[in-house]
This record gives sequence, C-alpha cells and structure tokens, in this order.
Amino acid sequence: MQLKGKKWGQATAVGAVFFILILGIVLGYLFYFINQVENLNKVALSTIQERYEKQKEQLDIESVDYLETKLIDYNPESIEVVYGIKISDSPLVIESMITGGGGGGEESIVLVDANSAWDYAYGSYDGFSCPRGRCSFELKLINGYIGAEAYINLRNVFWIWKIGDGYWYAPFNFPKDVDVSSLSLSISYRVESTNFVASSGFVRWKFSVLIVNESNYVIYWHSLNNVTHRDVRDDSFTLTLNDIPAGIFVPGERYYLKVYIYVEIFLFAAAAPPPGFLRIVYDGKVYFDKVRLEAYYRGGFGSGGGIGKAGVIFGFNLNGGTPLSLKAELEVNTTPVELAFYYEYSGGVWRKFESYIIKTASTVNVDLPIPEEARNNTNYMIIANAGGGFKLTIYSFKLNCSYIADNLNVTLVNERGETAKIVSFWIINASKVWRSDLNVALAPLEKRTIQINYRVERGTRYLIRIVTEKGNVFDYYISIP
Amino acid sequence: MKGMSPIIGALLMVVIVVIAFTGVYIWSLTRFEIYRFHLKSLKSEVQEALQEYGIIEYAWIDKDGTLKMYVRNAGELKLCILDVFINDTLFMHDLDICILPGSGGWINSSHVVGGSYVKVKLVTTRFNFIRGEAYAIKG
Repeated sequence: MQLKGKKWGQATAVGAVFFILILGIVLGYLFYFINQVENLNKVALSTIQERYEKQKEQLDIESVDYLETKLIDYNPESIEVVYGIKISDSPLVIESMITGGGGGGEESIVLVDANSAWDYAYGSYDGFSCPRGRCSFELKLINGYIGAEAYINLRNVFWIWKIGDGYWYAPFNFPKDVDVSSLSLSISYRVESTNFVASSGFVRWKFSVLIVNESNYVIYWHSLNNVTHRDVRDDSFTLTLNDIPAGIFVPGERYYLKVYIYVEIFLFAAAAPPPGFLRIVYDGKVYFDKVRLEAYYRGGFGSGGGIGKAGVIFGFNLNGGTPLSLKAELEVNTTPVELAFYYEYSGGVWRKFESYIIKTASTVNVDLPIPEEARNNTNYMIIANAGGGFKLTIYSFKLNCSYIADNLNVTLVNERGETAKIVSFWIINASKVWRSDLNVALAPLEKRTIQINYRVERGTRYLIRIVTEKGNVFDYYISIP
Repeated sequence: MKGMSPIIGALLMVVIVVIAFTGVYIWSLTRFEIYRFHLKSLKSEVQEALQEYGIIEYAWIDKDGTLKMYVRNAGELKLCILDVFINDTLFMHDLDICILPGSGGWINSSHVVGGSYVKVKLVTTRFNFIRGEAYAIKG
C-alpha cells in the first residue's frame, strides 16, 4: 500500500506526535536520573564535609590534679629534745644549752656540708656503647657519701676509651642578715680503684667544685688536682679553699654548690688466662666524705657566754602523704639565732636542707620546701645556734603533705573554633577500666576544670580518654609517682 | 466500496500506529518506573549508609577473658550492630543491638577471647564497618 498526498501527511503527523511523546518521556526520565545522581552526590559531599568538620575538633588536657594537701601536725609523743631543756609543751619552749666559752670574735654558719640535701644529675658515658661487655658510670652514694663509680668488664676487646661525667649539687641560701666576711670550702675525697686488669693505658679522674646561681651562672669555680693513676688504691685527698670572696654573692639569694666528677678511661687489653683471651676490667670509685662550705661573719653578741644550742626532733604520722613543705611558727628571745632544718636520711643520719638566721625577736613564720629525696621521711629536726643562751619557742611545726584525693580535677581546653561537647570520660590502667558519662560543652578556646569522681593509685600509669559527641577520641597519659 | 478502502486503510494504519505506540509507551513507562524505584532506594540506602557513623569508645578483654566494649552512635541515624568479628573471624552474630543517635551502648561477649590483643570489627545492619582494638586487662 502506498500513501499519497494528504494521507501520507496525516500518518507522518500521527507518527511525529507519538515520537515527540516518547522522546519527552525518555528525556524526562533522563533528566530525573541526572537529578537523582546529582542529589546523591550532594549528600555524599555534605557527609564528607561533615566528617571533615568532625575531625577538626581538638581538645587538650592542660592538667590532671589528683592530689590534695593537708597540714599535718607532729606527733606530740615523738618529740625528742636533743639540745637544751624543754620547759613547756604548749607552746613548745626550749631553753638552750651552752657549750664552749670565750664568745665574741668571728662566727660561722655552715651553708653546705655532708648532711645537706645533695642531689645529682645522672652521669653518662660518651655515647659509645661497650662492644662486648658492660660499661657503666653512675653517680651514687658510696658508704653513705656522695660519689661516683666507673665500671668496665669487657672480653675479646683490644682496647677501650671512655669518658663519663656528672655532678652532685646542694642548694644553699647566702645569709642576708649578717655581714659575711669570707667563705671557706673544705673537701675531702677518696679514690678507690680495684680490679684493674689491662696491659696498658690510664684512668684519669678529675674533680671540680663550682658555685652557681639559680640561673646556672658560675659564681665560683675551682678544679681540684687531677688524679691520674693506674695503681691508686684507696687513696684520699683533702683540699681546703679559704677566703672565697663573699662580695660576689647576693645576700638572700639561692646558690648551688656543685661537685663535678669526670673520668677518662683509656686501656689496652691484657692477655689473661686462658691464653689469647682478651680482657679489660676496671672498677673505680670516688666519693666525698667531707664537704663543708662555711660563711664567716663577725659575731655581734656578747663575750664569754659560749654557744647556745637548742635542738628538737619531730616525728610525723604521714599516713601515706608526701611532705611538700615545712611550715613553722617560731620565736627567739635574742638575736641573731641561726636555724638549721634537717631530715632523717637514714636511721640516725641527718641531712640539712635549709638554714637561715633570725635577726628579729618577734614571731617568725617559715615555709621551707622539702627536698625530693626527703619526701618519704617522717622525722625532722630543727637546731638553733646563737652566741649565748636563748629561748626557742615553737608555736607550730607542721608538714604540708600531699595526698591522693578522692576526685580528679581535670582541666580541659578546647583548642579549636567550634564548640566541643564531651560525652564520655575513661580512665584506664593495666588492671582497671572505668567510664563515666559526661555532658560538658566547651566553647571555642574555653578552658574548664571538671571533677571526676575517681581515685587514682600511686605507682600507676593511666590512659585518660575523652570522647566527644561528634565521635572524636582524645587520649592522654598520666603517671602517678 | 472502491471509495472506502483508502479511508479504511488510513484508519487501520492510525489504529495500528496508536496501538503500537501505546504499547511502547506502556512498556517504557513501566521500565522507567522500575528504574526510578531502584534509583530512589539506592539513593536512600547510600544516603543512610553515609549518615551512619559509630565508634568503639573503648574495647578490652576483661579479666575473665570476655570481650567488653562501649559503642557510641555519633551519626544521625539509629545504629544497629549485627555481627562482631575478632581478627576477621566471626565472633558474635545476629546481635541486632540498636543505639540511638547521640547515645552509647555496651556490647559484652559471653564467650572467651583468646590472646591479649585482638582487632575488633563491628558490622552494622547497613553493612558499614566499625573498627577497633582490644587489649587484655590484667587482674
């Protein structure tokens, strides 16, 4: 059949209408599809954006305070008057005892001695490890005195060259209430060298004494004679340095006396039995059994009265606390009186950690930091010296101790520009997991301290984990000494 | 009759064309509707999967050897935990533990976990993974 003229035109029109309809449908769905894919991409992009925004949170723990402090009074039954006579219990009044005589003239105050609170910086070797064996250089107490030990035990090594050094230091306050005319420093030290096995070489010990201020600026320095030896056995040396100029010190300022110890070991191996077996052994020790830094001043009190001395030992029941400072309220009826404070280093051995001179006859409050190494001690002693008899009144003698608190005070900082809401707090150690819900919102850059009802244990390391509402996790570690 | 045949022919042609195009239209409409439905559900699933976000706040192996963990829903949709994998091995299944947005929930196993360290993987009902690790707590 063949359509002609008008009929052909009608068929074309009908076909065109339907074609346009079908085309419209196809295009419509195509656009719908494209629109849907675009929407999906928008959702994906916005979700990625949200995730990125979430990651921008940054919280920091500025501090974790797990301690509380309490003032602990001494145990009244523990009081032991070591110098003088107790004439009253409340307040505690001690009448000094008188020693010596003649009076007047030049007096001295001991700034640092063997009983002082010595501390040390860890010694170190030159960084080379020992090839086959053990090498060590360490600062340590030897026979109860400050010192250092160098130890080498090597096998199958032909030679060794090692350098080790470190220093001990003790703090002191330069007297501010007296006119110090001069200082003297006396040091006695011993070198004990044992088990020296090598065919050749030397071991050289060097010592220096320095006085530095709190900025570590050297005020005074003196090198002691080198001890170059191979065969030194149990030798001792004494050095006295008089007339250290007092003018270079600022009254009342804190200084540190440093004892610097250096060892240089250069040894060749010795052939020792069994044949051909190379061996180097050295075990050397040095220690200072007498160190004394004294300040001399012109005594201003009468003559012929001798030296007045009063001393009391106080015992404390710390109940797990750690002494941080000693707070005392004292009064003397004559001036000047030198006060020295000691802690019991070990049974019957006392170490001085602070001293100063009272120049006013009114009530004096002292607040003395307890040295690190004294923080397990329960016994403390005060000794007062004057150029004649005096009366020492102790209104209070307390230790400010830190205890593990029942709560943690955690200071948080929001380091970023968006509000962060904390929803979980975790504290975890090797044996316990503890969690608490939180609802704390921190504005941008806000710092806030929150209290957590958890008691930490001593000698433990903890992980603190904070979780935010956006699902970010922040971890921090604390060690409880 | 001779004059009628072109008209009938034209009508027949129109009818056949209409029927044919109607058939094509209905078929294409049906297909497009099916595609639209699939596309819509796919978009919805992908959208939900993207908006689902959970974390394991902390997981550990307890003193008795069981696994304990706390999961937080930090996303915008209800989060349902289906399975737990330990070191890529199925450990707990069909849990269906659901956590509302902004909330957290505990997942504790009744079985003992071997070892002192494991990798934990949670599978959600939208087949998202939440990964973490667990260390043993010593008694």
